[in-house]
Amino acid sequence: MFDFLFLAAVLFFLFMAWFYISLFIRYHDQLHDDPPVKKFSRISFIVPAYNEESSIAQTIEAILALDWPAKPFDIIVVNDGSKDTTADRVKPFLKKGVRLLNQKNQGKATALNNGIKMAKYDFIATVDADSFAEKDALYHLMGYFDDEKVSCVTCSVVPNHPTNFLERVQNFEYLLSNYARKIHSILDALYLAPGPLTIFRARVLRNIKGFDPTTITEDMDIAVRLLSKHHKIANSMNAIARTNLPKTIRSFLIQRLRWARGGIELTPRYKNLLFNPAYGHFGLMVFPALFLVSYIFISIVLINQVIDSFSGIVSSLSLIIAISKIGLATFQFQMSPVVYYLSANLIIMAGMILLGLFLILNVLNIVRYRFGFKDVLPFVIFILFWGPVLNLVWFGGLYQVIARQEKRWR
Amino acid sequence: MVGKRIYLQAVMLAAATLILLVWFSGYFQSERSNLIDNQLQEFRQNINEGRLFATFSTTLGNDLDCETYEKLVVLTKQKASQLGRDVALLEQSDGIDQSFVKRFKKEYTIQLLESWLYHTQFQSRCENAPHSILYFYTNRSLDCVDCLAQGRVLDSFAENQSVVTYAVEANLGLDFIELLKEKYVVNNYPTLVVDANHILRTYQSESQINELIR
Repeated sequence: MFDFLFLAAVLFFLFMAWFYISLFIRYHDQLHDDPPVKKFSRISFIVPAYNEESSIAQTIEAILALDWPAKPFDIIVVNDGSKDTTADRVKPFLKKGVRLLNQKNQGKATALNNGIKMAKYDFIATVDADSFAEKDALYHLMGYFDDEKVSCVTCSVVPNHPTNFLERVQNFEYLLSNYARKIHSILDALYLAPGPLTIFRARVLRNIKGFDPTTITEDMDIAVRLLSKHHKIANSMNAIARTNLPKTIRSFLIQRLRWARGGIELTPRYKNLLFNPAYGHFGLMVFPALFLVSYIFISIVLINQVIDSFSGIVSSLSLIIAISKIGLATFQFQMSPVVYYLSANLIIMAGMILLGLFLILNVLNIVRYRFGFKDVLPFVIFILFWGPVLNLVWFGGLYQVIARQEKRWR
Repeated sequence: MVGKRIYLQAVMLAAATLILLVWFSGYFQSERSNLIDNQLQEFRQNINEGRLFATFSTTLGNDLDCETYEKLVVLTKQKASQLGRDVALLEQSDGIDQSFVKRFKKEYTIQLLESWLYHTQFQSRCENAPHSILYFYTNRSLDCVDCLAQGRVLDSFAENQSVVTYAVEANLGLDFIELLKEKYVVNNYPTLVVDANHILRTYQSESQINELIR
């Protein structure tokens, strides 16, 4: 029975890999095409901020520096009860037209909703207070709004100067996510409106009553809610917003547990979309595959590996005992023909990794990533361990949901 | 517009890839199986030769000379050592529960025990016979954390002409092994039977074994 499930899991991952490779082959020359801007609309920017004293000024400066003829922008910083000097850092920008709204700490979604109430223009851009849009971003994003069905446009999110090892590993995930977002937008199945920079049609945002303050992943919830109402979400790979990544394992885990929990809580909320052909590729494929099936199947592959590892751990213990008793020097390592080492498990895992690698390298090529020497080890770690790590985090999120732990936005 | 054809295409490619991977796995498994089979045949030939000599001696009343015994023991020692290592690798690659792995392991063990019996005969008839160590171990590492260390210690006697080791997996379900376990009261692992009469029921270091066979 378990062997059958394992094979089903392998088949699922091969299917997913070939699905994205097929889309890649078909659309690789169009991924960087953005529609030209015909109308320069005015834009309101909402920057929710909680304890962002180290980055808020840079974020506002980046918005002010954006190339766009329809200036000045309407910039609203919503200080969500910060305990640091975030509000003080914003004050110098007030004379440049930036508005500051101070609220009690109520979470990001409420901060965004309060900002929406104040926004003056037909388009609202939400920007995280630790993210920095590149100067030409609006030229890449705004052209998509010529299509009246488009109610939201997202950008590529790039790590802001990743330096430490953890950031470098995450860097690859972000690069892949940018490609995935573009592909999902082609499928009309983009389920995320990233915090670093997303532009909404203000009318639509108000019609759906803004962000849901009861969720901890408001960026995912708003996107799925738009899809559930048959709105289109577009993406530009050329529009780039840089964001600060978690630098420590603790902050990384807190962030990922929040994402995992948000994703889990979102699934029952939108269960009517699951396997529903009325919602196109999102209902039939992306939502069930990425929110449900992939975690189940990754778990099966993990359990398979754990079973293997358990005997491996026991063998390792025996090995440690053996070494402690007879010393490493007396060990004789004799090679037998290589065919003895090529087990079915190894071949299947290697096949899956190679296929994934093929896709990832093509994506890195598409996003024009310059691979450096320092990237080698983070890349290997990413390829081999990132899936299992995220899956374990997913179980952590599941535990939080089942244990009904208090929701924390930070 | 992305149509449904892309799903069909992905399903077909995924199925083709899986078939290819399974075929590769099967191919390497059969290669391993063939290699072991060939080695087992050579091993079997040596044992059969020994059996022929034994039948010859009982039928025609000619006792085997010590030189012939020695030749037999040395020859089987070399073959058994390589074969034992490869069977262990086969267990790691394909799993100890695979029927073909169990079959090879049993066949190998039967040949090995027959070879140990010749060795015991050799010891009873010739003074210059090397020492024999019948080593009972188990693959269930939790039942025997010292088995790996013991196996490695015994490996170190591979080049030693005065000792021949016969490593027997105790849980193979062979009647003859059960008989031996009963005879030597094997309840825990590792258990070593030196020269068919000294029974050691705990891990023995190289120096302890050397001490015993000196």
